[in-house]
Amino acid sequence: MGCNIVTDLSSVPRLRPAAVVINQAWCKKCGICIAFCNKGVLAFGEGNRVEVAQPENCVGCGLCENFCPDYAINLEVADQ
Amino acid sequence: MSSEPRLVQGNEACAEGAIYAGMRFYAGYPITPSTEIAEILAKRLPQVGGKFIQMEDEIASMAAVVGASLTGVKSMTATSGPGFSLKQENIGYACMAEIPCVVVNVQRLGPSTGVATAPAQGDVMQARWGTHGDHPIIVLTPSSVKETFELTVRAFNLAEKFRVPVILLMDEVVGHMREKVILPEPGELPVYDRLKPNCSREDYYPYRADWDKAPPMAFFGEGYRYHVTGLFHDESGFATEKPEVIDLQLRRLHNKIYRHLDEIITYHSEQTEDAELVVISYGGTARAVSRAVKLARQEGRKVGIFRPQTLWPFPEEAVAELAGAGKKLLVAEMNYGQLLLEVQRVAAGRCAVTGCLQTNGELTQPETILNKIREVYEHAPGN
Amino acid sequence: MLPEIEQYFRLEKLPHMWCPGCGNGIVLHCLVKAIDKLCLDQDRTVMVSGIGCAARASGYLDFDTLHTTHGRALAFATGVKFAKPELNVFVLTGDGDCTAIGGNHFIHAARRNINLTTIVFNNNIYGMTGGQYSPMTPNACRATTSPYGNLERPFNLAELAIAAGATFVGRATTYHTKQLTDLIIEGYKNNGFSLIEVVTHCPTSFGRHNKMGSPADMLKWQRDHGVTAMRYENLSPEERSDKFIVGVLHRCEAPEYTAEYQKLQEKFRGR
Repeated sequence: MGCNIVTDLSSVPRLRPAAVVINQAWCKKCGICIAFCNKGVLAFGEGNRVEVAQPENCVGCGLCENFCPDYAINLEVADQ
Repeated sequence: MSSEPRLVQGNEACAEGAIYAGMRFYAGYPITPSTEIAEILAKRLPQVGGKFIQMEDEIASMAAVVGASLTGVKSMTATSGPGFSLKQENIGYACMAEIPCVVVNVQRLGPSTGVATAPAQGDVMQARWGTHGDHPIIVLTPSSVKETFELTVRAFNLAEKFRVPVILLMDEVVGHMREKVILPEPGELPVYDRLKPNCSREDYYPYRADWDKAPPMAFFGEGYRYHVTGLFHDESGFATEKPEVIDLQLRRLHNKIYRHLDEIITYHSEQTEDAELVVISYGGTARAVSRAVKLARQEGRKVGIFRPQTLWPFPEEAVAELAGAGKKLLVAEMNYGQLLLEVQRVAAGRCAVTGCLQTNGELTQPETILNKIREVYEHAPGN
Repeated sequence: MLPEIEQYFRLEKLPHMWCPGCGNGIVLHCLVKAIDKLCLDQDRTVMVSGIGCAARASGYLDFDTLHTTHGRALAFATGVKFAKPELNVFVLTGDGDCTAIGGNHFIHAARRNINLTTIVFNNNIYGMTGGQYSPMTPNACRATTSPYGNLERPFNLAELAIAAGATFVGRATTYHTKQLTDLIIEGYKNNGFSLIEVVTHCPTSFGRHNKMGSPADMLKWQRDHGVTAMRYENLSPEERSDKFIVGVLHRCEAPEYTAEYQKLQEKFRGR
């Protein structure tokens, strides 16, 4: 990382598996979420549709939701 | 105001008339020959709980006036030709977004910088068509100090009622002239305030109105949370490109003015009944016309005066009536024939229409007009 | 989107009109998060915007919103704020809107120190009209009107604002989202003119013309080129050449215009 300022994860609990919900109606398939997911949770599917390919890998870091320019991703945190 | 007569300048009457009408926000930029309006309001507005701001340019002044009006405050700006040109885009915005406000233009000699202190009436067509696109506009023009006060109040009333920018088209003669006048007492002239919505936020459509009406206007900050744009919009206020919706909106903008001409158009006519020739004039020029007509009457010529106080919408019916009666029409104005064009259009060949036109920086003298009256009276074809 | 911030959007207007990967949506997200953290009264907060891609932001937000003419957002906003100082007024504008056609209003709003929180979406290009160079397009960069590379030099907008009298100036990027949210909060809290310059990305026009890669690549570029003042200090002149500072760049105290005017009015009260 180029500097010590992190992106906004304040509202999302760290390292907790979560359900990643994609609002396909709003998604414009820009690929930002896929590029920033370190765990390979998200992937382009058929017709460049963004899909939750490996939900079990999600650590709830929230980067995808944070960077999605179209508010098309919701991280639903599972109850303890 | 006091009921004592006092010596008042035209520009001062405009400033005081605005305060009388409830104007509490002025944004402007210095420009001759309108600057006294700003100077007087800079002093007066903080005294009456109002706001004055000298903006960085004319464009910003017009923008600030629109912004202030959206918060519910009656707002105005004043300028002259070059500044009026600069304001045009945001005047169009006020037309489109239906923002009540008053724009004073104390005309000076143009084009361009022209002569800053010289009288002229060259902005008649700019006042009508200065901003781009089809739009209706209300333009009032006074020819005395007292009338400047009254028409300023009227300009605000019309702006508030029809949710439009109203142009008060003064000229250097009227702006800088001083006359002994008794200014109206509070309550003497009607003062109108814009209609506000009485429905809930959920039911509020900021641009929903009858086909010939202006909609009620919510103030920013009162919880209606609505959108205002210069883009064509539907009744919700949001942009649209649907031709049928655009058509409806633009028709309503026109209908809200053109279906209410009786409330908008006023004029002064004098000795027109028996007249063979009627001089049509306005603003500073109309004062010289008044003298010229008096002299012509003394010579035995049947001459009358028609002086529109509303330039736009043009008092078409009244002028058509004069033309239909076969009266010769002489249009006296300090330009190369701007209102003349409109009179010719309305007369439509039914009578002789001639111009007494001068635009050299000097006020047209009564003698010049009298000579023209004599010439037209004798030689122009009549019925 | 987090459910708690949905209330600030006009959800029926979404998805927004911006291109895939455009950074403007991220800026708007941060603005709304800042407003939520500030607990601002939604009924007493006004969004004023000009013309251009960034200026369309106002239409998506559930406040009183004013979409004005090109370059004039700050002038309209001055009217709103001066007429009703109790309203919270945010100005949403792009680099072309704010620094070219609106440049005069920008320096004068800063000079007056009128309490407006101005967020400049700086994507280095005129996006709405298809990618012409703006006063914020770096030298040598390509745009449709600089096909051989931009011959002009860009503004340093932050320094311009400081010189003109702004009392809070900050810069963030669409990568540094937490910082951006915090800067908007700080800018709002400043009683005076606040500028928050956001380095955002236009993949469609600027990115494509300048071979910047995908939207994600452009975000990574921001990550790698926006540095803190402390880090910038320790860089060699060579390393500094393509870096810019993010964070709070300036903060000072000065009389705020509408408050000064209210004092003037009070002198006449009761007379």
